[in-house]
Amino acid sequence: MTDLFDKYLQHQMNEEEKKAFEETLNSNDAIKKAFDEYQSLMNAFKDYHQKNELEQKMNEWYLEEMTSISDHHKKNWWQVAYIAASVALIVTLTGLWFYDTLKKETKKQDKEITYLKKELSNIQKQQHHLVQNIEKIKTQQHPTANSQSTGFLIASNYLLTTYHSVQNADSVFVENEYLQRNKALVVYTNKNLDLALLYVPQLKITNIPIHLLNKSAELGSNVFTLGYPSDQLVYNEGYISAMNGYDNDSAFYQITLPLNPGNSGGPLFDSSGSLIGIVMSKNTSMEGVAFALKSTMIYNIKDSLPADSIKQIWTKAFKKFPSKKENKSSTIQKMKTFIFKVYVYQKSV
Amino acid sequence: MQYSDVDFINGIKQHDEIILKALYRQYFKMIRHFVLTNNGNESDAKDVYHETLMVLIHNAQKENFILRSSLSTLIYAIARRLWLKHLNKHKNLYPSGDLYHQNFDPKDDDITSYLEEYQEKEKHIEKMQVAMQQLGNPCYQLLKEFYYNHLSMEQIAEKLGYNNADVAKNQKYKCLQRLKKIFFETNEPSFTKNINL
Repeated sequence: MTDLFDKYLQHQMNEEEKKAFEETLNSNDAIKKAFDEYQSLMNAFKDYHQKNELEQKMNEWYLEEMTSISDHHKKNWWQVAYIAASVALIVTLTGLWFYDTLKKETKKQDKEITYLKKELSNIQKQQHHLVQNIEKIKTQQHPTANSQSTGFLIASNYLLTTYHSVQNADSVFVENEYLQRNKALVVYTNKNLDLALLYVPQLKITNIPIHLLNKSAELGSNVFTLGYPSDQLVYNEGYISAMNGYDNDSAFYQITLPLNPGNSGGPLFDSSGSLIGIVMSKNTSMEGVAFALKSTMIYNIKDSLPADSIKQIWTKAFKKFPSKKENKSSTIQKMKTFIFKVYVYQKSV
Repeated sequence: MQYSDVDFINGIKQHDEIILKALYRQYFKMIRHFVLTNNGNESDAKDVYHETLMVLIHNAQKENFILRSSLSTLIYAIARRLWLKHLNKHKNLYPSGDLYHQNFDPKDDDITSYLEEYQEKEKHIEKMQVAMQQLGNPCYQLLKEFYYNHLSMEQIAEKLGYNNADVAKNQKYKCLQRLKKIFFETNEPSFTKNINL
């Protein structure tokens, strides 16, 4: 029966068949009902698909638009606070002045001065309180995570980060300055390499400019990283200071680069903007010495990946040759929307 | 290239990707600015703008759609209404919203009916989404190629790697049966939608 419906809906019937079919519809209520149901099902499917496609496209366009907007309007909460506070100040001072003139003149002047001072410090307190309140409102929307690190998109829906940052996590969320907070699922981990792959259903984004280089970097080459050690994206640069990592581990580079907690999981780029590693850890006894997992090592785990779909991502995300050299700031502009804060929540121990 | 309002509407009707993208670029800054200056943040701006376009596209694709004002006015009016709705729904999050005090013209029936129609469709889409989550991607791909891209069973078998057209057809039939069952049985979507509106 559905074959017949399909044929009719896709206009593949000739006039006779069409006529016969329409007559059946008109004379047979059961068939008519089945047909209406079928048609509404098909419409819902088409609408659903169209919306999916459109959303995906709009997300791409959004990123393009945002990367082209260089002056990023951040709300200046302090300014708001100061305006509010100065209004309060003026109101109180005026009030004081009235109060002052009404007061008996016999009162000693120096007393009034101290009184005014006190009021002022009160106002200061209020102002401080106001600022605190505003700060609260700003941050209240989400509970504080147990830890924060960095991750980045390597393909539509998929982010790479470190295993140690999502280890023992109850839930993981990703967010950056351009894209709202979304829940992420840990779909693959590799303890040996300290690597984790996150899946975020909402981040359907194609044309990701981050390409992993399946080729070793050279000693002394300049590198830079972008990460979220604080609330905002932070840039740091340095160089590859040794070809092996801690304890001569050949899976890692030793890099000389100032890093902070939260940087881990951040992408390490060479000067051409190709991704050559992931920031992992730093040496506590030597200042500025840190370690990054080599991108070639990341490529090598391809065969141990759990699903064909993820293997395909690997094939697509890696490149054999560095990308065309671009000016660093434009590279950063291009990359920054694809780098995320990774929030990890754990059950209280 | 500059497009006129008529070009944009025709582009929407034909689902012309180039024109849709131009449309997106054309009004992005306006709506973003509107939301950002009315207590919204970047992700609010994005959500409002995307939903505004969804509403517009859904309604403009209908045969009886008539553009009564300029496209810019219409887009602004839809976005404004959506954002107002959002602010009213989450008063606690936006304590000093100036927008409450501004009146919008409640007689603007066009916008109201646009939103209502879109919401009606949205319900079906959400039901379909629930169903599709249960059905899985292979079924989605199969149904998409058949019903949306209108490929023949032979072409589908080749594209999606089925042994032959009969296998694909059989699979499509199974998918459809399951889809029907799930779609008409679920009354309430069982998931929460990840959107701020």
